[in-house]
Amino acid sequence: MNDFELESKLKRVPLPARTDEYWEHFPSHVRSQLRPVLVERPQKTFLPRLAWGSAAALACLIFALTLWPASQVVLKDARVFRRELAQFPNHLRVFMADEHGMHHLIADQP
Amino acid sequence: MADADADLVLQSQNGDPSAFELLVRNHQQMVHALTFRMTGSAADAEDLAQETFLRAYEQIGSFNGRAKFSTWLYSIAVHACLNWRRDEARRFQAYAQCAEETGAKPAGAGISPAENEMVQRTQAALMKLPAKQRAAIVLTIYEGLNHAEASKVLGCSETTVSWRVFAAKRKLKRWLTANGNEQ
Repeated sequence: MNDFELESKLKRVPLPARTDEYWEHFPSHVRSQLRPVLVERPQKTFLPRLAWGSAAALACLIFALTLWPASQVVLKDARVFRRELAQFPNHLRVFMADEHGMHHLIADQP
Repeated sequence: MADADADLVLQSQNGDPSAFELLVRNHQQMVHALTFRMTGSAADAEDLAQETFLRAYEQIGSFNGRAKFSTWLYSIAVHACLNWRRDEARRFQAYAQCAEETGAKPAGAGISPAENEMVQRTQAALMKLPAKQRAAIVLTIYEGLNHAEASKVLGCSETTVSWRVFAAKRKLKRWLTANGNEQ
């Protein structure tokens, strides 16, 4: 017996005949047996979100510890500079900035 | 996945039982055929078909659409059948009852006694196969899946499927030789 003959023989085995009524009612019968189920959707992984969140928090921390105080010093110096210029208009003689911040020298005469 | 199935699966995943009922309607004959080929019993095939669809509904949230819905359903049905436990005597008793039914109903009507005997011997030989070899034969010969598709359904390698098909055919040929001796 070769493969073709065997497959022909196997395929001659009939399926049990079922009525149209059976096929009509089977789906509704299954439906009546369904229990409400909590659908298990594939969950998005948490790790990428955690990584992005951590990176953002770290960036904020670095900004708070370094750039923010420096910017506040500059702003403070600028406020002092503007206030004195307003008191002595046209008296600014020298203006410079070094590692200690901004400095200016006010002349006696305009 | 066919577009019609895709929409129905999505609706079922959102908890719509009427959509799932339509999926059952679309695939019920395929699942019944597979469960009958695996069990040889019309009654057990009906129970297993129902169990297959109930399990499918419970697990439908995990269906991700990468495979065809029918392939996913085959997998559930085959595993339900592989877990189907009956002793050999009960199984053959069930088959004998079914063989009588199929012989009396239109699907088996109009065939000669010799043909009927051949059909019964073939089904009995199929039922003598180890369950995993029978599953490989059912999927590849009756359902027309290639070995790659069958390996996805069975959760094993293509090589394993090929071996199971080869071993099963060798046994079936031996049992179904022309002189009618099954041993």
